[in-house]
Amino acid sequence: MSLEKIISYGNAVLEPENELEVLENGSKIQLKPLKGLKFLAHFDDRTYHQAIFPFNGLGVLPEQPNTRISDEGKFARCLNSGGGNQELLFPVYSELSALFPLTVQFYLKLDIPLTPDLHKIVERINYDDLSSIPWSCGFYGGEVYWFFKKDGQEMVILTSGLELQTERWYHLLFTADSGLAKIFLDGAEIAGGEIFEELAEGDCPLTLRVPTPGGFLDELAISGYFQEENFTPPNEPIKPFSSNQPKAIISLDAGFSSAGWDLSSLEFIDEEVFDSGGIKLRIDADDDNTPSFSGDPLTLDAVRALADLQGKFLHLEFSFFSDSQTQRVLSSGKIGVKPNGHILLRRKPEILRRF
Amino acid sequence: MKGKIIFVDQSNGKKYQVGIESVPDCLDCARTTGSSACSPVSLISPNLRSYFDRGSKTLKIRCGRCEKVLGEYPAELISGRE
Repeated sequence: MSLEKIISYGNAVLEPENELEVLENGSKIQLKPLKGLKFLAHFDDRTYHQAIFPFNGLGVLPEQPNTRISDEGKFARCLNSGGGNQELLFPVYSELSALFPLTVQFYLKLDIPLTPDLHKIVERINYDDLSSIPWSCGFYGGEVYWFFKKDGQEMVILTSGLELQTERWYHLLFTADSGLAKIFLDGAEIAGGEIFEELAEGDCPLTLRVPTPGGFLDELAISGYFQEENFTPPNEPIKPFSSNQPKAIISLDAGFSSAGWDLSSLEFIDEEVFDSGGIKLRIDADDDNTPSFSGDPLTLDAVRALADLQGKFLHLEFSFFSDSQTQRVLSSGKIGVKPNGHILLRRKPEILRRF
Repeated sequence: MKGKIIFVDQSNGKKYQVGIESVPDCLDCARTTGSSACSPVSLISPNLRSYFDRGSKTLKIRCGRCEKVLGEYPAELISGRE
């Protein structure tokens, strides 16, 4: 005699094309895509992540003289302490087409006050026409700006009277869509206005610069969405799916103590993702609902070969492994559970849905 | 018209707009905004200093080298009350 427990994960889908971060909430998986992420540089090293066809994966930032990833790690800075406008830091010769709607965001810390010079942070450069800079953002006259150019005409969104302090990290976000551009500081809109109805696009290179001599730059992300309203900036580094190993945990309740969980009966609607190594498992069982996983994640076949586990609760932890190409889909499944040999079921077995 | 600059006053959120027909040159300075081959010069340029005077509601553009005022442009209030 046995009953089945349903593992309900019908909607758990990982799409590496869109990049994901994972929020764990008890036994329920929540997958939150990083909206339209196209480019991401943590500056922990010289690699960056680009999530756009045809190149999806890590690239290497070509280092320029006097610029480097900080010895302290975790951010980029310029080593040249001289004044004036700094030249290229990290030119990224890659295709980033169809960028609008567009959002550019990063963290910034100044260790000297902003000078009135022009400090471009992110800029699209069209080497076929150097007089044509589709857009750039950064600092000008000690203020924050967002610049657009099309057919010889220019639009500039600029703050007035903004005073950025030194030795403090700020989150800056520049966003634009057809007809509108905005700038956010620490999640609050500080400037915005009407721009071109149709914005110039193209595959011209993207260039990153240091904010100012003695400035620090971190967690630069470029995404294809428009930020409408104030928001709460992320309080930890953004983790793309392919460099993260998201986990989902579910705990099944047998309804009685010392239940026998028949691991050989564990099955899922679609097991191809397990066969390809895209998802692996760790298992634990107990009577007090305190999951504790140990050891390396196992394949589904390896779990099925394990001896039955006993406990009122069975805990399953799914680890997602990305190849940056294949969609990982965790489908619903089921597992057989047997009563303790000394306990008779007092009611007819039933299939219980947890969610 | 060369373009427009929208200023947002951080003290009160008022929004001003300045239209600029052409970016001025500094005739006194060899490093002028219009003397390079990069014409037309951009509204934001290493060779310029732009400053929005919130008192007079004017945009002042200076030469980035000699600091000479090259032009003053009245701003139009487009959002918020005076």
